[in-house]
Amino acid sequence: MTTSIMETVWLPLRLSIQVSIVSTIMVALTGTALGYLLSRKDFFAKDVIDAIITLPMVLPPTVTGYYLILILGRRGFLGQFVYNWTGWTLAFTWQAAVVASFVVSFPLMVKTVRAAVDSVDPELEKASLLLGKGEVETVVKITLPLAWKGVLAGMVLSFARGIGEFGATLMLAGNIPGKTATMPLAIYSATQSGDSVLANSLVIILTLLSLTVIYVTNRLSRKGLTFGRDIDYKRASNL
Amino acid sequence: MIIVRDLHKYYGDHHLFKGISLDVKKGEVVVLIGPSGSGKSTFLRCINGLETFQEGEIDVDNIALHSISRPKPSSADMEAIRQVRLKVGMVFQQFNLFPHMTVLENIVEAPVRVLGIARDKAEKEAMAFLARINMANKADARPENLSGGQQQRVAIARALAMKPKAMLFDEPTASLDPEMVGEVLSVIKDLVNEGMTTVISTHEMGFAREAADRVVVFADGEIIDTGPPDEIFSNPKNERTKSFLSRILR
Repeated sequence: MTTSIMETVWLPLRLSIQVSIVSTIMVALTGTALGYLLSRKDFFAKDVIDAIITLPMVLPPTVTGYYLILILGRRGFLGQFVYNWTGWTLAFTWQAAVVASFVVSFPLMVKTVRAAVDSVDPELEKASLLLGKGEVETVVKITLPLAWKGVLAGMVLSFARGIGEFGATLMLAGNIPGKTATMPLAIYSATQSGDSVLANSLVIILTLLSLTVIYVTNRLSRKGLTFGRDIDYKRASNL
Repeated sequence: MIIVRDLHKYYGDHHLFKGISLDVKKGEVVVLIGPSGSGKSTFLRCINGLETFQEGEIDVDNIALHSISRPKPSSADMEAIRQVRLKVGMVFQQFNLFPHMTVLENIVEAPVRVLGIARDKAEKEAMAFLARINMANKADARPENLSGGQQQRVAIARALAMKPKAMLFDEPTASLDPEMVGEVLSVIKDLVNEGMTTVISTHEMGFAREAADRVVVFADGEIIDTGPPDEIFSNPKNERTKSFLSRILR
């Protein structure tokens, strides 16, 4: 019984969390950078890049997954070189699930950060530059701290999207129990095989996990909202 | 100190600056007046590289900013702009204090990071200056909890903490409630009396008259008149200066 709970509940849960955390970290770093660039800079083919990274938001995840196979599969556009050099292929590994999560959550991160950076007054960045600070320091010290709620929101959305990712993961990583079968895939398998007890357990755990993430995020951002008001409370108590 | 020669700037087809030349000597106080949209703000922003220009040259304390016709400035241009910014402080109409930092952090952040001054030394100097402008008790406040006049005084303190050789003020009192204009102008007056080289664009004609060594009148992207305040205000010779003053002093 213990072993079967381990295998049927814990493994998909751990895998989902692991995949989503790794994917979210990657998305946070790259998506924040691209979100900032799209908001503040003009560069070659900006609109085309924006359109391409947005595509996974509108395409069926299976189509996104199919593209990923074409690019990263063993005989894929890039995957064949990796396979020829190293004998390793991304497809049907847990890292493939990370890539699938990354690709589908990347536009969520980029769009949220872009909107957040758009809302930061560029004059504040100019004030920082005029004080002699470099552009990178200005981004790190002024722009991103002022846009942090967008960055956080983007990360939560990306994490949630990663936890819920199904179609692209199924295409690129498959549904291998203990290896690539994340929660949504395990729920699908349990339902298909008529194991409603397992399906119910997994669904409840996934729901609770998602609720917890949303709750913690709301708490965090509310704390952030009051950061300027601490002084008011102090002042009020002095009066 | 600040030499501007034959400055031309275009926005697309619009010829904004039609050859502006201005020479500001060390310790001189130059007040720019003129109708809104005459280019005073943009002119100040050219001096510290926030705006590019297509013809002419600006020289700030022997560092030359060249005209830039290419879309991207070269790294030498960027370095010159950075050097100029270290010499020239700027205060904006909208204060532009960093909302996520306290008053003290706003002031000491750049001296510590950019000039490499020790944090406790920078904080001591900042507190001394805040005491001078009667704001020592606001050191830990956030900008959102300050009045406009207080925010602008902090913005001046922030610019001065970088120990600039000259200060640019872009309509520093234009977004203040009338009762707060005085407190900001008095801080600027103190600064001017200490000999700070200052270029200030303003609609406060009383201040211009009192504090300026020279008044420069902008209209339609040109300097149409320049002279000592007495001459400009009491005995303007230029017709357009006369008509501008009669509108604003009515």
